[in-house]
Amino acid sequence: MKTKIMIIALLLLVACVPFIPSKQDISIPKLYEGSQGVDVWFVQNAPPNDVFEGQLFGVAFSLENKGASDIENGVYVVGLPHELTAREGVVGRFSLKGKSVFNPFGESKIIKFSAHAGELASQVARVPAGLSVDVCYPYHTEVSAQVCINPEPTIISKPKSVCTPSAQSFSGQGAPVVVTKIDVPQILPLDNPALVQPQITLSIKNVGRGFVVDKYRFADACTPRGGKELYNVVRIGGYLSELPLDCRPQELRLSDKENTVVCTLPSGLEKARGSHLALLNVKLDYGYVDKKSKQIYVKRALS
Amino acid sequence: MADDKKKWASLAENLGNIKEGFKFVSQFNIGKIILILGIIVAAIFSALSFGVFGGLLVIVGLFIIWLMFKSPNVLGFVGSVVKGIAFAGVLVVILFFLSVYTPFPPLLLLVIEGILLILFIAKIDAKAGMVTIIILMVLAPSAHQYASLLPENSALAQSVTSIEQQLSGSLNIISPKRISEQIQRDVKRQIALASGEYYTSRVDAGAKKQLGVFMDEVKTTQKLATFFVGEPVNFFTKITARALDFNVKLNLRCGVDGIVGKVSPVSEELFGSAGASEENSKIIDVDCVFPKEQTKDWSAGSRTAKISALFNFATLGYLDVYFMDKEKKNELDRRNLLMQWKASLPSADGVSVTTSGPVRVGIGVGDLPLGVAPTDEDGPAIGISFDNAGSGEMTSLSQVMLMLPKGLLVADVNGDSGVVRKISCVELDESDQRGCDDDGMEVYLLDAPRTSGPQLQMGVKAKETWTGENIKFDLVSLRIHTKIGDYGALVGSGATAVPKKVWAKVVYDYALSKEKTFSVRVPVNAHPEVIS
Repeated sequence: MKTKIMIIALLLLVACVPFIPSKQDISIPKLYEGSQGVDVWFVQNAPPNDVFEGQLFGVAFSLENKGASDIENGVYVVGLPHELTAREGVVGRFSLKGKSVFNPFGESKIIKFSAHAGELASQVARVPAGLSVDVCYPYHTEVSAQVCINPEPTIISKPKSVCTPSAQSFSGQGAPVVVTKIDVPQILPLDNPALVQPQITLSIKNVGRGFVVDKYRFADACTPRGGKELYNVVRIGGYLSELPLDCRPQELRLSDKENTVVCTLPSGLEKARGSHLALLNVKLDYGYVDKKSKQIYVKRALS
Repeated sequence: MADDKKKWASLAENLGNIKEGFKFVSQFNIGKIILILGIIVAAIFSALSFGVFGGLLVIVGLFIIWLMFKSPNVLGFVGSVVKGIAFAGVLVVILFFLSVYTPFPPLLLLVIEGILLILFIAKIDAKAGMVTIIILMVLAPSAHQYASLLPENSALAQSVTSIEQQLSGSLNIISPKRISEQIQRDVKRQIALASGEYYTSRVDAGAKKQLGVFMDEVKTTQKLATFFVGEPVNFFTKITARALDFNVKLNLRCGVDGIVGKVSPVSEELFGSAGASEENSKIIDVDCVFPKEQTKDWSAGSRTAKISALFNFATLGYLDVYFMDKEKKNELDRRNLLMQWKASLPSADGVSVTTSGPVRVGIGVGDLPLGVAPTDEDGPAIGISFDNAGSGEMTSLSQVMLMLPKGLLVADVNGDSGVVRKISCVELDESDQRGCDDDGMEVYLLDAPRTSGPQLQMGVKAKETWTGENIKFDLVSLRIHTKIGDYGALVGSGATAVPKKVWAKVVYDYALSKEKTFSVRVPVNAHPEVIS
């Protein structure tokens, strides 16, 4: 009898276990990952793949900020071929907030307008009509990393050093232009023998699918003209332990090959400080251009 | 019984020699294969110069010479080949007489005599037998060459033509005329492509049906296509005409060896519809009759009937072209971003699209995107080619229409500015006004007069009658030089990936015909009046 009661009690205890709440950590969304800025895509069936001549149809596309940076006053331009006409909505401005703790997916916006398919030429059963949306917006990339600074790298210090200077590689940073690598910090002498000047070399790359443009002229990329010296311009600024860095070149012209920037600390560091971890903050400022195209067919009308 | 068995065994043994002959021929090493390929290439070029017949003779001649030197007894080898050809010649003569004076179709007789020939060749040397067969295979399909040496109306010439026609009808690939024409057309196209005069195009994959006029094979009311002198001769076929918007008028004619027959209907019209939902199509039954009063004067032998249709048609072609500010294009190029930009375009393969029809329109421009600066005067050069892709012939070119993107103007065509005139959409026919928009296009007409006179060098002469000799038209190229009229209209609002279309339309007359070979016999119990 006692055995039976014990078994029943054990069963009841096991059954109640799920109702005892367990302790769980709150997950913080990873904001600084991915390599996208604004993602542009056409809403399904807007426009439809096939439209008939003379037909009025809707066009809708979504602008979604999938990066970590906010966008103010970006520009979008819709390109329509001769076969299609629209009364409104082909050019506009947009502002979208980036990913945040409160909005881990970033802000998005859908832009809609109506378009009209024109008449087909004789003997033509269908004709392709390519629509495109160009978006041009200012963006930035922020990278934070701890770097090991050893003011006297040739001396093997005792006791054991706090850290060992090493190179670091990075992938997604919540933006299309990223710092892919931070080389081993170099230490340069200054006039003052008590001070040294850390030198950090960064590698930068456009990993998005669009084009990098000058931040102050990003809107020109969405106009027919204004092409000179517009593309592949990135402005770099940074801090090391909250001290401003002097990065050269300040305006980097991206190329297909390796793009490197050398940042130095003009004020220098005290040698006596010894090897230590310092917080490196780098900010890349640029404009970005992306486009999305969709080909539809205008078909002969049914009568 | 035993003797019969020996005869069959002997025959089987001799047939085995031919097997060995084939084995012998197949024992080529790589070097010889390369040599043979080289001979074939040389033969193709000689075929282009002297016709397929000449090319085949080159191959055969070289092969025979090689075999002769391989044979231990050259004279004996040559003797065996001559023997085989002589026997074949005798069989051919018998074939001709049988085809004229008996009701058996010539093709059937040819097959029977071919079997007899092979059995005869089995008795002679295997290598020589191989050579004999090859020579006969070369000469036989070229029978029409010999027909031209004979009097035109003779029974022999007509039989030769009949055999060649039947072979061509049943085995299209061995028709020397067709092969030669196709090779010449393809080579001409390749040369034009290499020299930049031909612009490739593809037919719209979305087109539901082929547009144009299509003729079925000509059939006769008599079995085995055999008629008697003095009896009515009747042929018929079916024509399907398919167009979208414009009217197609067909004029029909028929004849036998130049004698005009009574065709019904004489003409037919397919009315286009501006609001057509799909291709308008019309099926026309065409009959060709020769009454007995006409056929009683015909002599026995093989003849060829021909039904022809002359019709007007139009084909359009278009090409997606991208314009970009020149400075922007240079900047993208300098930063190695141009390829990335091109890769994002939905349609930038540079191949134009043509509507289906017997003539194909090809359009080509330079490397996309086309860079345009506000201060530019000269625009890009546009190449247009019209290619006969049908089985008939284009007899005249009525009109060429160009529709360019707004802001792009025509300066001249092939260096001549006097042959082109700018028009507005309202000046066009109702069917041509479809899809025409003066706000978005620059429309031009290139007029080609029907008669001789100052006109574009199009390689086509106007014809007064199409039952006579046809002027062959294969390929016409036009080079359009343009100028920039409105830079802003060309580069657009700012979106860089918006295609603009260059359209070209050609209106032409086309002649399509089909032939049918038939036999005319003298009836066995014919009334004397009929025979005379």
